[in-house]
Amino acid sequence: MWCLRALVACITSLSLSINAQEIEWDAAVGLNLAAHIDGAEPDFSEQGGDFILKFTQDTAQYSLTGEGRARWNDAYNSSEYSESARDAYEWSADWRELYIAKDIRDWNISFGLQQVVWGKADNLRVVDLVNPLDYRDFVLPDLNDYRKPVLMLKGEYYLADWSLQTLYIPFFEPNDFAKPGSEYEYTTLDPALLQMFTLLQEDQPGRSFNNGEFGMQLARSFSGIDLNFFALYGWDDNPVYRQMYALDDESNIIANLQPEYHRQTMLGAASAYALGNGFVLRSEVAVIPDSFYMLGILDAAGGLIEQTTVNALVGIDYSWRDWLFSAQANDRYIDNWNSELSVVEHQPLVTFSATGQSFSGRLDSRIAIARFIEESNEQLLQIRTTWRPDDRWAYSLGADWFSGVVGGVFGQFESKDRVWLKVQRNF
Amino acid sequence: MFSRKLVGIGVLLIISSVAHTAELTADDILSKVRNRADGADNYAKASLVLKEKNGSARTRNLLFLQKDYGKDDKLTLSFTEPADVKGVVLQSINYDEAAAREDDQWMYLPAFRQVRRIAATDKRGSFMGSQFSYIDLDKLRITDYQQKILGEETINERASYLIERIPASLEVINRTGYHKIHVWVDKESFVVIKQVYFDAKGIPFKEFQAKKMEIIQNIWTVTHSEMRDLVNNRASDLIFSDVSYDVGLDDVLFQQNIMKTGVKSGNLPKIR
Repeated sequence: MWCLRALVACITSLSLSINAQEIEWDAAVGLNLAAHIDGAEPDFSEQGGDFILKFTQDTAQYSLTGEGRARWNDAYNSSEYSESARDAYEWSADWRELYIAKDIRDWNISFGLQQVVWGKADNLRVVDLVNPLDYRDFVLPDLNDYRKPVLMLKGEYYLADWSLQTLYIPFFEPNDFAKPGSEYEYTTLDPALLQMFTLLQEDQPGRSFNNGEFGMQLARSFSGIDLNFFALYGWDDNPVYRQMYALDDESNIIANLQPEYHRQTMLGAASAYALGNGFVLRSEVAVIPDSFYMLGILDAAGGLIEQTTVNALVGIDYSWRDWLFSAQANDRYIDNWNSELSVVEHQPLVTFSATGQSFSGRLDSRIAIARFIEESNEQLLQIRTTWRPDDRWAYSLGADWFSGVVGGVFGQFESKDRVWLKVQRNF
Repeated sequence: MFSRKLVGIGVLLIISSVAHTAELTADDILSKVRNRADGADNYAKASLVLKEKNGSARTRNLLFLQKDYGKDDKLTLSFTEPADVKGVVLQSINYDEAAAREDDQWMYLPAFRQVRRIAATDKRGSFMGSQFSYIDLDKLRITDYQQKILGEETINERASYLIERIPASLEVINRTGYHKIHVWVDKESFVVIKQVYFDAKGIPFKEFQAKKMEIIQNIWTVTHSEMRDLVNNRASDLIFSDVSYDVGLDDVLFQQNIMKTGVKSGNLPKIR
């Protein structure tokens, strides 16, 4: 945290030392309302607003980019939600990005809070593992809105026709799951398992150079095809839970679950290929040779096992006038999977989306479906439309429908179907 | 200096060729349009004005950067205003017509922080909500059409050839949405000053007009054009300012990373 404060102070003082007129800024104020339509309490899951401030400062020496966001949701001022959820989500503010960039010889170097997006997938993550996520609103917003920026030193360089991106992340940041007792509290552990164990405090990696994350992307575009290769030596942003057993003074067994994070290496590739006739084929594959999984059985050795995981995606886009239709299929393969693992062998997911503009770009529309094609038929359907009568105002209306089984990825929120409205004024 | 000489030679060639207009075919004229000297690169600021029937207008400002790479050329369009399009970047590689290769196109949307390859086979889509389609931004292609001279007319006090163009294949119709085009080419400058686009029933539905032409660095340049939808009467203006040719634009401006980092002042040469 001290480092972040130092970064903000440093960048602010640097910014103030330059003529303020060189700063370009944009701001937006939004009012948000979301109502449950399937009987969940409270009636409104969102009653509030947000304020976004973006600024850039472009000088001959460097450029400075920042985006801050403040959010207010009065719906959390309800007894239906827990105190910790109210404390965290009634008022909150975060930086979406804040970094300084400079061209040094043939390198573009940037340092600060940044988001890096890898891969070609649409709202799914296969190789896009650099930044962690904030699941306070589950996966309902655009991925860009819940990706967490991290402190990062990044360099971009061209080697003939190849572009090279290197990055170093000094401090580990995990995924943030929604607070217990909040709207989208997400159950990652089997409740029956939790009954048997005492959950201990998380054991996060210490802040040292050796605990930093290193990444590299190599990319090239040929006529009709884009190729990207990735390597990331980082941490799994999700914890695994180690079983720990001990005896107390009365020789009773104490069973604890210790959340801990593990190093992982990701090697990946992505491509986009123009097929002709309006089609673009996209693909991604990530190989993680050191994924850690929990065993669903009691195990004195800790109940963790290290396996190779392959995650792959194929997608196809079709452009027709002002519309883009996308379909994607995603699945994973766990080497040597067996039924003792607490995760299923496969988790095939298909998505479909149609995004388009009409009325001279004033009306944006999108429909998106994500469906796990297993027996439970878990599904999320989202519809959204935005009307922009001018450059200042935007009126958005949308709906999110969950379906599936109780405890399923989407089914656990089945009672939380909602319609929502957002009015935004740009400055 | 060498490139200026080339431009000068180009202008001389154009002037001498005008003396032989009687021998020109429609293909010859359109080849002169396509191969007209326009510098090795081109920098401009542009405003795309979306005009409504009720008189209201929305303006999108952008940087227009274009550079020749042999017979191919690369284009970067970087939007700077207003807030809802700021940071949107469109990049394309237009290959030599003789190569018969599809263009490459990418779009960067800051809301997704992701460069997306987009199909170049359907260019009927609206360019940022305007009446200009993506195909209207492309360099004129000769072999996509069969063309003939219909006559000569005076448009805005400028003598011009009127040429009828019929798509050579269904693929061209599917890519452009145009079933027939009437093109008016200025006899002096070989600049397209007017186009009327026809639908499958032979009804004109869209009209392009060059509203203002200037000679910049000895190159005839359309600095204000209008595209009007004849069905709904909506129109869009494309207005160029600070146009400069042969400024020595850096290759980095046409590489994909610039879409993510944005065009910074340090990336641009001092524009004369």
